[in-house]
Amino acid sequence: MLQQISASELVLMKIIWKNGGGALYSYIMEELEKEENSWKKNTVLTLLSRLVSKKYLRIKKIGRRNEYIALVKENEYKAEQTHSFVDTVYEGNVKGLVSTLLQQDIISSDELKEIERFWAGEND
Amino acid sequence: MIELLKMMLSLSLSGTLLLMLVLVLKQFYKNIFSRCWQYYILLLAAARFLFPVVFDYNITGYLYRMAASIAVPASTPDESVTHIKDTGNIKKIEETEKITKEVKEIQPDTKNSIRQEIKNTVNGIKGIYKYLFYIWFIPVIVLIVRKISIYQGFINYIRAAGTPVQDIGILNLLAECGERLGIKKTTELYCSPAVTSPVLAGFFRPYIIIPAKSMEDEKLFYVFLHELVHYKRKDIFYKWFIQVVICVHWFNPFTRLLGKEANKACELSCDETVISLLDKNERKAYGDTLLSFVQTKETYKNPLGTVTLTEGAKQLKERLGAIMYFKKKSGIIKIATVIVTVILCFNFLAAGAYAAWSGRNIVNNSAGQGNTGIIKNMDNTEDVNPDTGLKGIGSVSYYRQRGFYCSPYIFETGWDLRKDEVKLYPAKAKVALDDNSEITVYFDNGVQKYCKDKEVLDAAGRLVSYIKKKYTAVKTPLVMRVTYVKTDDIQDYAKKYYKKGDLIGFTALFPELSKEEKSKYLNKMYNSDRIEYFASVAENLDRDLASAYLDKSSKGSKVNFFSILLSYAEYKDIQDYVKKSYKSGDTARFALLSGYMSAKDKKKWAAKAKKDRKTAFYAILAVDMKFK
Repeated sequence: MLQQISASELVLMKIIWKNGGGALYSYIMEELEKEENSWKKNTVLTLLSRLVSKKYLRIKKIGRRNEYIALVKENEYKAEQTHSFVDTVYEGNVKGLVSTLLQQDIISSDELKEIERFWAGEND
Repeated sequence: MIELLKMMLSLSLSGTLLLMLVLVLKQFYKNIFSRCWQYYILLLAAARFLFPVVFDYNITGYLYRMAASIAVPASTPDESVTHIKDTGNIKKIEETEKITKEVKEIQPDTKNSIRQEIKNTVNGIKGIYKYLFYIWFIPVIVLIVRKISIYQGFINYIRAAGTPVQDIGILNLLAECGERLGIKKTTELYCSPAVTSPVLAGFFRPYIIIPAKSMEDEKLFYVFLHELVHYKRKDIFYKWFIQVVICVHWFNPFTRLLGKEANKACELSCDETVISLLDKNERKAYGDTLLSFVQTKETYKNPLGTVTLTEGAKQLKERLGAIMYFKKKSGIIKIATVIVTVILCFNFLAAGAYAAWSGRNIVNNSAGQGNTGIIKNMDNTEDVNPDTGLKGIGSVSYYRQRGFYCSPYIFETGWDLRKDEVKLYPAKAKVALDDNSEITVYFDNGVQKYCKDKEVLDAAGRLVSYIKKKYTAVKTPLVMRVTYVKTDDIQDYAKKYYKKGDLIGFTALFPELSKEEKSKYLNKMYNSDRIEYFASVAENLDRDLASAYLDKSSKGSKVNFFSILLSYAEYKDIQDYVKKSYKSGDTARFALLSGYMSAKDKKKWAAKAKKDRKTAFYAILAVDMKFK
């Protein structure tokens, strides 16, 4: 069971995932600047160390620089989050989730069909 | 164990003395010197409570002077060795180690004689010591464990209720403050409803805990600055150091005062550092922030060992005052600060030597000059304070004791017994003196039977008259031993005593021996390093023998013999040796000799050493002149 992480921690995780599951601190800072996040150096370090203690990351020392390696894959995280979302909000009823998605036009019937086709192909 | 107990007591005393000095001086520098300095100078006092060693002396001469005239005569073997090692002079190390060894050899003798001779008072003291040791030590452990568990409890309590702060704005503010103070490492930030005022906690990875109520950014900015200054200065270690002092010296109320003063000084100096970064308007805002955190009621009693923003309303007035009147320190004040620091450090060392001295269980007759410490000690001159079992602390009169021969008896006699001790000796007799007065002589339990022996009383009368003439006024003499020795048998008995190690008996008989015999024994003592015998007989040495050995010991490694003979030497001879030791660069002997120099000569030699750029020699004299 993974621990919950905050929105800002997730921002960092996404940067690392995007970079193939590992990133240097300097790279993370660059990416943050691109996204126009004015996070201070120590703020980022604090968040990173929180992720380390939550077992989402581990630190790999490269000389004096730290590389942050993801211990949790993006899929794993998404799956885990979805499960806990379905569990808490829909009490484990996936149908409920799908109907909400359709009702709210978050997902169109075309997209749903595509998913069905994908699902059938997968099972052949 | 006994040694440790004694050391603790003496450290407690010297720590208290230094603390008092600091607090007295504080009245003068309170508003003048930097608060930061005031804070760290308390650490000096705290260190005095814990460390028996005198450290960090950079000037060789000081080193040596300390070693030779304070440490060695005051008989703090370990210290002198350390000091001298620092000078890197191997020869001197050897010498001092020899002294150390001898001093150690002598110790048991002295101890034995005390134990024998004032049996009634000392009986069972060892047992009491053991008992006292536990009475001291168990509370130390209990207190330390209790403090740690209270701290842990507090930490767990606030952390359980706390959550890491997620707000990027607040985290950025903290990071900004860190950058401003030049702190590289990150500090974790928690927010907890369990605290009413911001707290810094944790040793190696400290973290800040802020109250859960929402705060404006401006306020938070000052809070962070304040707590990060604490973090940067490692105040948590400081505070725990003080806590350890308080635990170890739980019996000393002054350590609580130290704790209080340190807490106050800590906040004041932290404020000082913070406001030095702020302009005038910001200062006012900082003061407002402090005010807003005044704790009306504490949710968790005693957040010990942590650093909170405000520790109470009482202190706040002083802190706000300090903020308003903050000024940058001028050059003159900086110089004055340096001077006071030097003075306090000197006192630290002086008090330290004192602590180590009394802790070493070596007896020192403080009435004598610095250098006569060992000698007086081996002369069986004792000052014992049976109330505390501590020697030399607080006792006003000195109990002296040694052996005498008064034909046909050897007496071991002490005098100037204290009034309350007299009661322990019921056997007494009035004895007539030469000047037709009378004195009451007390007899120890082992020699009670002699108190009615007319011949013994007669001899005792002659003895007391002699002592009176030779030393000072004699009060309440106590006889511990009476041995009948016919005049013809003196030589045989002397031989027997020397072999057996009966120092008192031998010392008593020595003056009665022929010159030839004396010379023979002296040679034996000198060659086999029996310094305890040498010291005991040195006082009654014939002039020519004394000067022969003085000369002999002025060269080579037996500086300890030299030191003993010096106290009986003529001033003219001393001047000669001063010249010689100066010429040969022998700082050890020069330091010993300096204790006997007249003020005029000292000045003369100091001037010469300064001119010749012999720093070590100059330092020996300079320190001496400063102390006296």
